Amino acid sequence: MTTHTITAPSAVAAQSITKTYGTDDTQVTALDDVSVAFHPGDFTAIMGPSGSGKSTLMHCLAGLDTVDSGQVAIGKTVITGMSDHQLTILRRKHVGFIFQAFNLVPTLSARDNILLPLDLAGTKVDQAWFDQIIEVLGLGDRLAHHPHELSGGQQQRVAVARALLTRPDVVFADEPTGALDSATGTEVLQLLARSARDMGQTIIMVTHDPHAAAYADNVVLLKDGAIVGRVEDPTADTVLAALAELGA
Amino acid sequence: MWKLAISQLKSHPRRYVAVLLAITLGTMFLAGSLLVTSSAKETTKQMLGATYANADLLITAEQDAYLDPESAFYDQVGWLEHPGDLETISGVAEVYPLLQVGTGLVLPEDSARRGSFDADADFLLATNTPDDTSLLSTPITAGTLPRGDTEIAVDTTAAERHELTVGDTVTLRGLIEDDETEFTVSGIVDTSGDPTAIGAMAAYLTPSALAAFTGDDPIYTMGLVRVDGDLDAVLQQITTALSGVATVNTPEVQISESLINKLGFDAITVVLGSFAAIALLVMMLVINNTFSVLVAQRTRQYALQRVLGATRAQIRKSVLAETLLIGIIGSVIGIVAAIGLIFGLIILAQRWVARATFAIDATLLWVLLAGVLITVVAAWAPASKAMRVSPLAAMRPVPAVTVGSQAGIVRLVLGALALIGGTAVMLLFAFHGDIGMAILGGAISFLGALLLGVLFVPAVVYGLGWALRPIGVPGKMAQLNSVRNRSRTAATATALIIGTTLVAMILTGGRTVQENTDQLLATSFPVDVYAELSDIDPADSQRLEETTRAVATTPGVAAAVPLTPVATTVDQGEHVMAGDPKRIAQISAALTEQDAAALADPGTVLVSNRYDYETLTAQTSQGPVELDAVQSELSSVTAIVSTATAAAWDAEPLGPAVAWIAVDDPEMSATDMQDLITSMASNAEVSAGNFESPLIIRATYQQIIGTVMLTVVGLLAISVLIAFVGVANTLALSALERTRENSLLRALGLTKRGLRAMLSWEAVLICAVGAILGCALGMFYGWVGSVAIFTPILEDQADTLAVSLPWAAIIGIIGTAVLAGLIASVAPSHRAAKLSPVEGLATA
Repeated sequence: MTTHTITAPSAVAAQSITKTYGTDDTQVTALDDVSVAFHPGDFTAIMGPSGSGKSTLMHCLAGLDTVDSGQVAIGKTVITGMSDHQLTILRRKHVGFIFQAFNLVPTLSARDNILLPLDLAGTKVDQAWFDQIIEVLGLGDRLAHHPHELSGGQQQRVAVARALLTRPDVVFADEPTGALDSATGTEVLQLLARSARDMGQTIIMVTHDPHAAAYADNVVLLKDGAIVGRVEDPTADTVLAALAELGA
Repeated sequence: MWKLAISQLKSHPRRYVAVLLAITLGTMFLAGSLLVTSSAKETTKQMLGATYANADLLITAEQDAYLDPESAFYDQVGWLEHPGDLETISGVAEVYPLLQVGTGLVLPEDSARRGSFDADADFLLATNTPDDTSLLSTPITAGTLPRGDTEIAVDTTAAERHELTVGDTVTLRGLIEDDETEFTVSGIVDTSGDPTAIGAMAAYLTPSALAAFTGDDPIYTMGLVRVDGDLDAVLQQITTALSGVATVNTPEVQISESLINKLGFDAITVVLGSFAAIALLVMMLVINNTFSVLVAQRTRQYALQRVLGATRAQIRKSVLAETLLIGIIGSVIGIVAAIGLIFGLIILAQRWVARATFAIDATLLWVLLAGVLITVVAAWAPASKAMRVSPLAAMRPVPAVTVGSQAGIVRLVLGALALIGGTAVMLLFAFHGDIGMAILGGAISFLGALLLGVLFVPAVVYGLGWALRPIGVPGKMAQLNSVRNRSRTAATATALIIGTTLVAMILTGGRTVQENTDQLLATSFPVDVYAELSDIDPADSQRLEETTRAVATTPGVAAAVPLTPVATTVDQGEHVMAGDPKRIAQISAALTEQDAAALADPGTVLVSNRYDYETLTAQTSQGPVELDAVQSELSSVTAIVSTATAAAWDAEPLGPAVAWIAVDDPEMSATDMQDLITSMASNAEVSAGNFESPLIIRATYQQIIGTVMLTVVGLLAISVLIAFVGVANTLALSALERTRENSLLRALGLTKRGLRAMLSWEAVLICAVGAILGCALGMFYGWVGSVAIFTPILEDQADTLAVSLPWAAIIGIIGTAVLAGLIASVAPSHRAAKLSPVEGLATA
């Protein structure tokens, strides 16, 4: 394993990454020479129309997918070229995930779901940190429940707790509110924003909802596999305007 | 409906691989069993056909008729020297009653071999000659048939084994009276192809010569007829003359009709068929399980079809078509594979049995029907359950997990009743020694246990799963996943329980029978080998010792002790033997060291443990003596006194002395024992016929039981194999169901190896539990079965049944199951791990 040190103080950084699917005639360029860096403690939203490559970008940044060319670094580690095994080990401690749905393992209790990455890594839980997260997320009386006994919002809060517990370099959230009603969705987004603000947690969220993006510190706009703009301190209106500009 | 069914098969062919394999194995077994029988029948027919091909008509006696010496059958067909009445029918040239008598062909003087008939003669089947050689089943290769009562024609086998040529002299010994007759070899005939006489040496004698060996009322069952007139007319007349006592027909017809049926092929079909039935039952479970998973995955698809306007009946038809297709494809492959396999084996067998013939009959179509029917029936219940879902309900993304339906309760009640009732009946009858009823009770009890499987199998799986916890997340997930769908896990393990229970039962029963037979033989025969020293004067102790030493110094012999009969017990009239107690104690279980020490006291006698008195009175040539009794550990041992005690009486020996002999290796085979006896005989110059060994009987028993056990276990192996296919199948389908979840685990940091381990442990867990429960049940049923078998035998013995549990084999079964679980998980886990987390998360 060769690791290079990238001097820039980024939580996650991508340099000229390209990703294509298929061959010859059916070839689709999902990411076209994308370079982007995310600062520690930032809550960033990645936005773009369907097929813009935002999910692919997230997968490549998270080490779930490989890039054809370019480099990706998480913290101080370049993950490009790592084996599947090395990537898996890295994800346990350095990356947190919140997905749209099916976030939790149905056979495990809420507590076991939260502890899963730690159990996989075989490390001990930092009980004080665990208690703090549970208190902030209000999951104290839900820990023994299984996912099917929890509401959608509760399930997402368990996923958030799981993502935060390892103090990862970055938490990736893929449409975290997509399957929730708006009130519950707002609750989850507020939680994420607080995590970034109060706990200094770097968060990268993929979403197509301008209202969700408004909770982020900044928005990266993606179209046809390339970064086409940024919105700092977004509101729903500025995001909508920027998106409208893309469509034009 | 066919279009949709075919599209299902085409779009997901992998999902059907396991179920097809299960159907193929099951139907292949059934078809193979039928083919084995039909081919064996045909082969026998060919061989018999060749034997009797030269006769124009074949007469076969009814059983009542040939068992009755006064029967009209014998009057009509004739005795050896008394032609039967049939010969007077016009058109009949000759009636040839086919008599076969067992005789002993005396071995040459210098032969070191022990005979198969008695000590110095081989078994030889003697047959009378026909008037006309054309009725002979085998051609003459040298010389002629016997022309007078002092001549004999032997077959090639006999000629080779005894190195005979035309003109040699042989001696035949009668079975009934021990008289011997000399014959001159007049000719040599080919060895007969008659399957009932295979392996035996045969010879032909003139009817009058044979009469000397047959006794007064020889029994025979067949007669051959040579016809020189109108065959139909003769057939008609003979049939009338023999009506009620025998059937008559041309050889071809007769062989196929009566003979074949007497040879017990139908019994073979029944035995093989019942093993095939077990395999089919296991196959049914696997199919049922597969379709439970398949249709559960398709619930939404069915709902979509319903929304689009498909009626429930239309969907039902498409599922029916799908199962029909699967059933037909699997069964046809199975039948074709069976035909190929048996055909290949027959070709191979032709090296040894020239007339081995492959034969197919229409019963194979029943296999096809059975295969298809079982598939449809097994798949029907889960399919119709899935289709009961309303279109809207199925569109909602609800994971379908159902336990405890109405049918479930009925099943549990039935299962409990069968288990409790069956077990009670089985135990009751087993302890009364009624094997038939005990088997019936056992079968019901086992069925109950299987029905209740859904109750206790998942619990045991979960319990054993705790052992996996130290492994970490993969172990924990394996434990949790294995009980996620209780009925699926139960059904998968149950398929395995069926096979392993039966295997463990057979092994336990077989081992117990072996051990107890050993025990019975050991108590009846306290030493390994006896030799009666009949040629030596029992009073000549010096020669006795020399001979015994010669026996003892033979390689393979541990020790030998001479014993002389010196008295007779007054109440039983049995011999009291005199010997050296210390030496006897060293070689025989009849005497312990303490007994030997006690016997050193003059005036003591060793008696059987069934002899309850303090003293024993014995009659010597010098008059009665009273002895102090010492009890042996064994029930059937002769009374023994020390040589010193006997010497004090100064009595004459009452008969020939015997040597008690211990061998180095009591586990030796029957053949090795024969060889050892031969070398002891030549070393000690004692006739081999004077040796007798319970070890030979024991080795033969052990071998028979061992072979039966091996065969049965081999036949059951197919069922176990199908169950393992079922495990692989369940795992593959479960992994498919959990694609998303597994991808989530991968994203969160579960390595590929971890994922594979998780699935492998799940398979191992189910297999291990199936094997453990099966072995536990099997050992229980095996124990009860042994009780049922031995209760009547042990009733008149004082002994109790010693059940021996085959622990080594049990560990072997469980080990095999664990290994098979690992192998079964290879393909599904490999496939699951290959999928990238991104792809997996994207799958709906």
